[in-house]
Amino acid sequence: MKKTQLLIALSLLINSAFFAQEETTTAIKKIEFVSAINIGFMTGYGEFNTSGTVTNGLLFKNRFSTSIGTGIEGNTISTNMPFFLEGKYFFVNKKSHTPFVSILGGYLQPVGNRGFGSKVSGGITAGAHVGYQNFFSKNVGIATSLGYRFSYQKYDSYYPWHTSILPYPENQEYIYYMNRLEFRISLIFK
Amino acid sequence: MKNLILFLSICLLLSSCRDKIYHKYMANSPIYMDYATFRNSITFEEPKAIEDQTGIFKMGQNLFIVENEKGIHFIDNSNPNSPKKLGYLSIQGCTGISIKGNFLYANNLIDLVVIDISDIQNPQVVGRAENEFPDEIPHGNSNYQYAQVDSEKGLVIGWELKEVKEDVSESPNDNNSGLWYTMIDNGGLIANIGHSGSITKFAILNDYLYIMNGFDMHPFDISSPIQPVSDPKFRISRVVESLFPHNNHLFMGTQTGMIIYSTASPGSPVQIGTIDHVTACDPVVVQGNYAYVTIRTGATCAGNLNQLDVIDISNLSSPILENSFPMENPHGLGIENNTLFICDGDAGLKVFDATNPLDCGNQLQQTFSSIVAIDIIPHNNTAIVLAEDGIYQYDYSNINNIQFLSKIQ
Repeated sequence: MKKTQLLIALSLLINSAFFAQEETTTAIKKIEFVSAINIGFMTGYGEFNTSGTVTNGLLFKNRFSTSIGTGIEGNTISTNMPFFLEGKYFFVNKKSHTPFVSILGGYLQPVGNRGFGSKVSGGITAGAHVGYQNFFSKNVGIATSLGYRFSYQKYDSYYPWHTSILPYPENQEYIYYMNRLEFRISLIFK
Repeated sequence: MKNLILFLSICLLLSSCRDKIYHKYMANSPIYMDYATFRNSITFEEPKAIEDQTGIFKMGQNLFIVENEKGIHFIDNSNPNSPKKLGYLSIQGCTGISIKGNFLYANNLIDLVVIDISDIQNPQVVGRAENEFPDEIPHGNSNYQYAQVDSEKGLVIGWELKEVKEDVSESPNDNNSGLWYTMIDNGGLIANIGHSGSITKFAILNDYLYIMNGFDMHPFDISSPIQPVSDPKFRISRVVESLFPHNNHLFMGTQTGMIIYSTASPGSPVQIGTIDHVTACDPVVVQGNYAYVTIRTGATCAGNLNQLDVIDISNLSSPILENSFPMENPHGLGIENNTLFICDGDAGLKVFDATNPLDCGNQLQQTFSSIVAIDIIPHNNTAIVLAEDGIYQYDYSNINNIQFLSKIQ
């Protein structure tokens, strides 16, 4: 609970700097390219993991955006390269700063296990965030968001020595359903 | 703004959910039976084929063959040339028996049951000591782990091999199950007490039945035959593999030596002697002042020794190893009237003249190499041999001309 409170406080702190700026009106274009560099922090189940991702996508009328993204992130059992699709809805499309909600979903490609078995399988991930975005110049902005991330992943636990010692089958599968609180800071370009 | 807060609240709520972790694997999955049904499940059925024999018992003209963890075959052996199956007593989890008078004692998984066999064609359950072996569970497929057991669902009476998916969220690194077996294997000697093979964990001495269950010795007072009364069990610090009752003493074959207990106080036997050997399996039989112990290696037996040890027990508190003779892979053994039989695994059944115990291993009389012998009861010139493929009987009235009598399958 303390971590949650800390993340909310951090989110508000970062955004409060931009709330203080003078409100500007942005021109609404039909379609714009948007890119973002995201740093994420996920917590829950007694652990803390970080992520670094980049997204590229399209912004429609300053209202909706869809992006595809990839990067690197960790969870309980492995370090993964996520491939995801993200959609955002911006509540205010005429201002440089706006609250938004986002959803994302994608595939987790393991790139290294964390000592769990010999074979970690690819998994799926999905999440939803609430955040605040502020463009402090025409093309560069910052966003902070807080939300939920779900990941499903499994690994095979392999006992190569089983035939001589353990009466266990070589492969056993462990399936993880992970629920995390995620805080994300994004540097946005358009 | 309200929607935004609601959305954020849902996100926070979801993220506060605990992780779920499941362990999915092929395992021995428990088959349950409720206690009431279990305690009424003993039935006498039509004769059936012997498939997994683990113990033999002879009482009078009848033979009793233990079908591992399943029941007992009743056989009329009044004519050893032509034994006749009488029926099959289905007893869940039965691994050993002993008989005194008209009463057969068997383990029924967690219970000890008393069966009246005065009418051999119609055995009846007449007594039951409940929950004497509370940790007793059947064996499953040893190549697979055991799935978690939910004791609220009833008693585990068996296992089926299937893929299981268990919630291990609370202990994801716990490699499960931890089921440890305290199996009782097989079934003792003396007037109207019948004769058992040497590989048994049941023994009757006078009014006491002794059952070895894991590391625990359970003495039962059977002075009232149908109401066995359990005396406090006590722990043996070794892996006991066989019990042999002899002259108010219990000889225990353990994986690391032979132990001798005095039953002067039958409810609480006292260890009076021991002799150690390297770790191996070793049933024991006794005749006169000598104990004969076979030591072997095997799947569950460690060590690299296969031999017959002859031990002088004239001083029970200080047994002395007198001689050892190399064997192939000796299992059970039996002795009567100076004729020593050794079930030497793949090497078959070997018959020795033990007139001179100290040289018995050099006095091989005959070998029956065509059978994989496991255990034996030599009695009244008939040797009843438990082999891998059935029960064989031999007439050894003339030790120089032992005759095959019959085979029971």
